Amino acid sequence: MGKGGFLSSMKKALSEVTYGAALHGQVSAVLKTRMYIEHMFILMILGDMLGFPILPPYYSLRLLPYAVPNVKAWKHRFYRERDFTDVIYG
Amino acid sequence: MVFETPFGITMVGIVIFLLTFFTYSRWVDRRVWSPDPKRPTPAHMYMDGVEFFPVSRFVLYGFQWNSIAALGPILGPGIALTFGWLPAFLWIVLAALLIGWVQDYSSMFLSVRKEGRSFGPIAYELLGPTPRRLLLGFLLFYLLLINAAFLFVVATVVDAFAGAFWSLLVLVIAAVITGHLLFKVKMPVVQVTLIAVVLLAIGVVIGAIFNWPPPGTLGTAPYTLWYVPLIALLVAGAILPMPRLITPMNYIAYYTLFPAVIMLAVGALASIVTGVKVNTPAFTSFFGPFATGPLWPALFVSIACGAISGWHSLVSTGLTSKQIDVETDVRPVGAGAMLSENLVGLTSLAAWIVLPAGTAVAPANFPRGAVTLTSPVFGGAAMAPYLAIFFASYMVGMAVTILTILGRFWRVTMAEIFSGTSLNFLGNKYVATVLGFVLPVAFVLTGSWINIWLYFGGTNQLLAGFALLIVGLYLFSLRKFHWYSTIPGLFMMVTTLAAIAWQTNVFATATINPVIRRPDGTIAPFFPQQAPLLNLGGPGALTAINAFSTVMGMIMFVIGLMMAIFFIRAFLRYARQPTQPTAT
Repeated sequence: MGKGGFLSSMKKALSEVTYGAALHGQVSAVLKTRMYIEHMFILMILGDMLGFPILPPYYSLRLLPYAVPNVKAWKHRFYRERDFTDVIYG
Repeated sequence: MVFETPFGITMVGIVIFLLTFFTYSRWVDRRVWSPDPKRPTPAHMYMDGVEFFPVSRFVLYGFQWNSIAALGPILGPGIALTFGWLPAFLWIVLAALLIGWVQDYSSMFLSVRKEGRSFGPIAYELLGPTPRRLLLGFLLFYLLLINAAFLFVVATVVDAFAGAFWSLLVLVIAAVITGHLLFKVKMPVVQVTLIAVVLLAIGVVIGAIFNWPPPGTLGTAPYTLWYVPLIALLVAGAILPMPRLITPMNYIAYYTLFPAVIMLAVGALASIVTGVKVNTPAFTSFFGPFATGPLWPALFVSIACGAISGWHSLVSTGLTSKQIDVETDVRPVGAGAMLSENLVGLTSLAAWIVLPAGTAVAPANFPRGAVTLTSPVFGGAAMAPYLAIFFASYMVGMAVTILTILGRFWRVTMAEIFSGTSLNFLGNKYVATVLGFVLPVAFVLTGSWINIWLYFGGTNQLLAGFALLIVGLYLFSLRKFHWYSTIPGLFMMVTTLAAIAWQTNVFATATINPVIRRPDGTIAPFFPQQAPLLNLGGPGALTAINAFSTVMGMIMFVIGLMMAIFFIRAFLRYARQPTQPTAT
C-alpha cells in the first residue's frame, strides 16, 4: 500500500471511529423507534392481510402495498424473544 | 528514576496494552474461538435493518468504547490510592492483560455464536430459569447502587465546582438543539457537530466564569440540594424519547471524552519534560481503614471499568454482537475497546497520583489532579480555571449520560418484574423512573461515598464474574480450552463476594453502633459524614439508614452465592455429559 493509500485508509478509519462513538448509538435508537412504529403500522393492517377487515378496508388496503415488502423482516423482529438485557439502548 | 513522574506508569501501561492486544488476545482468538470470516454472523443471518445489520469494525469499536466509558475508570483509581499507586497500577495492567478484555471480547463472541442473543437468554439456556430470574433481581440492585454511587459523585463534584453544573446545563440545552437540528430540521451532521462543539466550549467558558455558588452554599454532599435539579434532569432524560435528549447528549459528551483522555495521556507522557512529580506513596499498607477493608478484596472492586466491569458484557451482548460483520472483527471491537478503556483508567491514575501527598480521596480532587498534570502543556496557569471546569464537566458528563441510560434500563426492568402482578403500579413508566433515582438517595444518606462506591464495584464486578463464568461454561460444554475465562471468573466471583461481605459487615457495624462515644463524652456518628443526619433525626435515623444498606448488601451477597452454586452445578452437569450439548 502506498503512502496515499495508507493515509486515506487512516482517515477513513478515524472518521468511522468518530461516527461510531458519536452517532451510531443515536442512529440505533432512531431505528428502534421506527421499529416500534412499524409494529403498530403493520398490526393496524394485519386484518386485511389475513382477510379479516378490522379497520375500514379502503385505508388499510391502500397501505397494504407499502407494508407487504417488509412483512418478512417484521415477522423476524416481532416474534424474536426480547429480553430485558436487550433493551439497554431503547 | 522513570517512575518519579507519571511518564513511567503511562509508558509501561501503554506497552502492556499493546502487547496484550497483539499477542495474548490474538492467541486466545485463534486457539479458542477460531474465527471464520466465512461463517455468517447474526448481522447477516437475521438482517432486519434495525438491530441486526453489518457495521464496520471501526464504527463498532467507537460505539463500544463510548458505550462502556463512564465514571468508574476516572474515579476508581482515586479510591485504590488508599493502598498506594503501585497496587492500583499493577491491578490496572494485570486486569488489562488477563481479565478485562477477556470478558468484553468473550461475551461478545459468545453472543455472536449464539445468534446475537443477549446476556439474559444465554444465562437461561446455559444455567436454567432460576438463575435468569436471579440475574433480573440482581440487576435491579445493581442499577440502584450504580445510580447511588454516580449521583453522589456528581453532586460532590458540582458542589466543589459549581461551574460544572452550569456547563452541564449548557450541555443539556445543546443536546436538545442538536436533536432538533438533526431530526426535525435535518441539518447535515458536520454542521450540527460544529454547533455542538462550539456550544460545549461555551459551556466550559460559562462554567469557568460563572463558578457560582461557592462550595457548601447549597449544603455539602450528601445533603446537598444539588440533587434536586440533577434528579429532575435525569428523570426527564429517562422518560423522554431517546432522540430528544439521551442520544444527542451522549453524542456531544463524546467530544469531551476523547479530548480529555488525549490531554491526560499527553500530560502524563510529557511529565518527564514538564517535571510534574508523583506525590503519592507507592505502597501504604495491606490493611486500609476498617470502612474500606484490606487490599484484597477492596482494591479489586474499586477501579471498576478501568480494570473490568460487568456493564460491558451487557453492552457487548445487547447490541454490538448483533452488528458484527465478520467474526474476525470481534477481537478489534471487543478487546480493542476494553484496552482503550484501560487507558482511560491509567490516565486517570496519572492525574490522581500527582496530587500532594495526604490529599483526601474525594471526587472533586480528580479535576485538581488533572489540572496539575495537564496545565504545564495546555496553557499554563492562565488556562487552569478553564481546565478545571473542563475536567469537572468531563466527570459529570460521563456520569450523567450513563445515568440517563441506566434510568431507562431500570424502568424496563421494573416493568418486566412487576407487570401483571398486584404491584403493577411499580412498573408504571413515571413511578418506576422516579423510584430509580429517589431510592438511591437512601444509600447516599449513609454519607460515605467510598462505601457506596465499593458496594457498586462489588456488584459490578460480580456481574463480570457471572459473564466470565458463563463464557467458561459454554466453552467447557464444547470441551474447548475454557480456563482463560473460568479462572478470572472464579477470581472475580470470590473477590467480589468477599468485598460485598466486608461492606455489609461495615454497614452492620454502623447499624449496631450508629454513634461512637469520644473520650470527652461527646458522641459522633460512625460515618463522620452522617453528622447532619444525627442532628436531624438522632441515632435512630442513623440506625434505620445504615440498616437499609446492610439489608441490601445481604440480599446481593445471597444472590451472588446462589449464582455461584448454580454455576458449580452447571459445570458438574456438563462434566457428566459425554456429548457437546450446546455446540453450534
